[in-house]
Amino acid sequence: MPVAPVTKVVTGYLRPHKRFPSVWCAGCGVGIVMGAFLRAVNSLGIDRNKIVVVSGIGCTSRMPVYLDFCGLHTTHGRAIAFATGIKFAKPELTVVVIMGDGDAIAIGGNHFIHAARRNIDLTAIVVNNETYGMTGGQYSPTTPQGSSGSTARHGNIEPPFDICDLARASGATYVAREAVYNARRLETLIAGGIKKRGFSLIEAVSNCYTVYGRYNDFKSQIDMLRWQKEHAVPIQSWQKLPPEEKNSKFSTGVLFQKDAPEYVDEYDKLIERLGGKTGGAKSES
Amino acid sequence: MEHHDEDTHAKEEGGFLVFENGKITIRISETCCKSCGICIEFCPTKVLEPRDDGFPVVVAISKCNDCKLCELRCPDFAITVEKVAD
Ligand SMILES: Cc1ncc(C[n+]2csc(CCOP(=O)(O)OP(=O)(O)O)c2C)c(N)n1
Ligand code: SF4
Ligand code: SF4
Repeated sequence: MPVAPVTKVVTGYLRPHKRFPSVWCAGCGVGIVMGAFLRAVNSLGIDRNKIVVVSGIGCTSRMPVYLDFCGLHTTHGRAIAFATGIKFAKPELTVVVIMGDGDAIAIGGNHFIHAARRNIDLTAIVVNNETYGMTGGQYSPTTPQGSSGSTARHGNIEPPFDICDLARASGATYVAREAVYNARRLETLIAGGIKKRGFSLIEAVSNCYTVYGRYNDFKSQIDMLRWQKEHAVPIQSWQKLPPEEKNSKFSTGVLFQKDAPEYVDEYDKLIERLGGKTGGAKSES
Repeated sequence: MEHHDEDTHAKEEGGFLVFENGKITIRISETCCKSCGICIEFCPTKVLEPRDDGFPVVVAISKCNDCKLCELRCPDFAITVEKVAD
């Protein structure tokens, strides 16, 4: 069956014995992120045996199950801890961590900030649907103030984290955000994050109608994507908006980038300084 | 599926609904498509429409400009657009 390149690229990376369709609800943005991620991997020409995809638990974290890469489907909130171990032991591998917002910055928040602070060469993709999708729509640390959830029936009174601000403040060297609606741009941003050496964070603003949209007056998954289309603003234009509009819209693109020493490199330097043999990539050859 | 433009040919082939006019071929997987409607809603030239059960069908293939936005946004890799001739 001849298929066009966009989809052919994606299906070429899927595990042949996995049954499709995926577990995700109709129209769920997680599938769009998976497509963008796989096209990014393809554009960088990474060998499928040299990439490890690590996830925790949640709708988003089902993703590695479908991918014909090395993968680890770990426990809720601990994906970055496992990924840190992999990178440390095998620095030659490309390590990508895929998590939901709960996984990454609620239960896994501590791992997240410290991986960013160390600037270990991981690429974290956080699929932000602003809720705990898999467990039924409890509010998460990214649920907007005033929005509803199964545990906030009268409106969430807590202010949310901005995942990108959190990553930047913690020390990440590449911070980007895009809505799943802009699938092509998301792909480019993910590729940029993988290429950048150090801790990269890409926030993919997603849509979960099933347990978030319903509580918050959206009419469908499509209605949620329409909302993204109207509210996602490239950073250069977003910066020129008046303050009230800045709050109601969200900025997209590479929001922050810097160069800083990478953790495994620093560790190798330490070993060399002490006269020992460095591990990982260097001892492999 | 009644309002195809004249040059659209539709057929079923290996689990796909295939629409073609000699220039563009659009395939939609009957096993993977979840009828979410994203491809229909965000097609800039309105090539697709929902069938009664919500499944997307091509109604105006001559308007397809091969932008592949449906393909890029489909969360289930269920729709492909291929330019076969100019
Ligand atoms: C240690 C632990 N605590 C709680 C859970 C229950 N649990 C499973 S998934 C999940 C949250 C999922 O939300 P998120 O990480 O945002 O991902 P999503 O499903 O929205 O993609 C929770 C709380 C668990 N599996 N393990
Ligand atoms: S519950 Fe929400 S996040 Fe989970 S698959 Fe369904 S739409 Fe996606
Ligand atoms: S976007 Fe994909 S899953 Fe959704 S209706 Fe179109 S072909 Fe089907």
